[in-house]
Amino acid sequence: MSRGLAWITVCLTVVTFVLCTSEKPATAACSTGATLLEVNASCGDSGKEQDGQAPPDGPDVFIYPACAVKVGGLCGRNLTCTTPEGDGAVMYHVIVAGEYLGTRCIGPGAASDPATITPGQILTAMRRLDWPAPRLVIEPPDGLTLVNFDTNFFTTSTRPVTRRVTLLGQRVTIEATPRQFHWDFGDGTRRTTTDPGAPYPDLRVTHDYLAKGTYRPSLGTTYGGRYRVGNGPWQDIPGTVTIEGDGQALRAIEAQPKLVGH
Amino acid sequence: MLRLATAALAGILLLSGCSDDGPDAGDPMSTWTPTGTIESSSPSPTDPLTTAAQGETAREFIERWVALVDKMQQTGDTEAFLDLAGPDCRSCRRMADNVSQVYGDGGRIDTDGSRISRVQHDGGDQWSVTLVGSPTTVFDKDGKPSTRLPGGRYQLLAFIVKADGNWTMGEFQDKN
Repeated sequence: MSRGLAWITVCLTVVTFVLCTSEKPATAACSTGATLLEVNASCGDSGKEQDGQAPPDGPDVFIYPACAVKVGGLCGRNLTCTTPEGDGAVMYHVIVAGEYLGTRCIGPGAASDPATITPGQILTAMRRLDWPAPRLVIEPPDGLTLVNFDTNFFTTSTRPVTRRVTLLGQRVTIEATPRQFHWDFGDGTRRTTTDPGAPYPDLRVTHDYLAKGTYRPSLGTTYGGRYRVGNGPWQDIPGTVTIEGDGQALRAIEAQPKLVGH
Repeated sequence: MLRLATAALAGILLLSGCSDDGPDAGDPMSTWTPTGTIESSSPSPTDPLTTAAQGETAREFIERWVALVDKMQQTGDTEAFLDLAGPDCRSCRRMADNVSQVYGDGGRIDTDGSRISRVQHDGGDQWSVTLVGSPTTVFDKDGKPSTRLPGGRYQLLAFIVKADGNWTMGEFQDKN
């Protein structure tokens, strides 16, 4: 019997779980119950800090064996399964960031088998993570622009953002890169670009307000992603995450030409 | 695994049937015999769907479970189905909840169910079940179709347990 199988046998007689809290910053130590197949749901490390935003917490990852038979309210035997390799294993319930992902057959070698983490699980984890909202910059500054004037919009949130989490005992790095920018100019006009815009004088994303008034333009970003398990190869994440930013007040006024004597 | 909910609903909308493409040489429970269509809609002490036959084999249990899934879909009654659920079968509860939601909202599920074409013991509590589903439609309270499933062949992994002489469904999931 392999060490893993022997370990499983021991685990069958106890209530085992691993729990990671995210109440503290991601760099804080995780609270951990009995380890199970060394499937430590450790807190995700923070990625690069961007735009002055604090790094978000990692997701909670919670797994526990599926009970086959209960005796007197306690689990007398766990549900057993067979891995694709034909190894005897144990079924686990998997919850990531509060969302139940279903069951998973975890065998003795699972902790070192990157193939056991699916892109779908990564996408779920990615969608649960807190990615930064884009920073919207408007020119002219200070919330004031002119009617029928090329108001310039751009964002500085263009770099990839990395988060690290542990899923099923494996360190997974998720990198999200802004792919699209959704500009809502606040007057009913919207535009989606792959161009993040640029500061004056390089006007690439502009909008002319046709009437005076106060508007609330905002910007959303769609992140595409890739991930890797440990130091393995990068793989694309089949899906995207869109983060909406808060709007900011912008008043458009009319300018009157006025001759001034010198 | 996120697909479980979807698959579960797809599964419940497709599951049914009681026929066999032939014995599976690799199956240790090869004495399985199809039982045919159950027409009674109200469970009774002698209802073969709700009462296990003496010495019920694993394959017979899976067949009965699949038939109960069909019945649950067709009637909205989840009780008998949940009676076969193990103590920790979240997929069972999810499936029942999905059906309850359809009927609770005034809708219905129209299906002829599926038939089992193959059952194979993978080891431990795990069984691979191949089914062929019939076209299925979910109708909303206004009688309008909200979901249409074309049917077809699909596979489930069923994790079944025998305790105190009775089989229960520990968990199930789509096999892919």
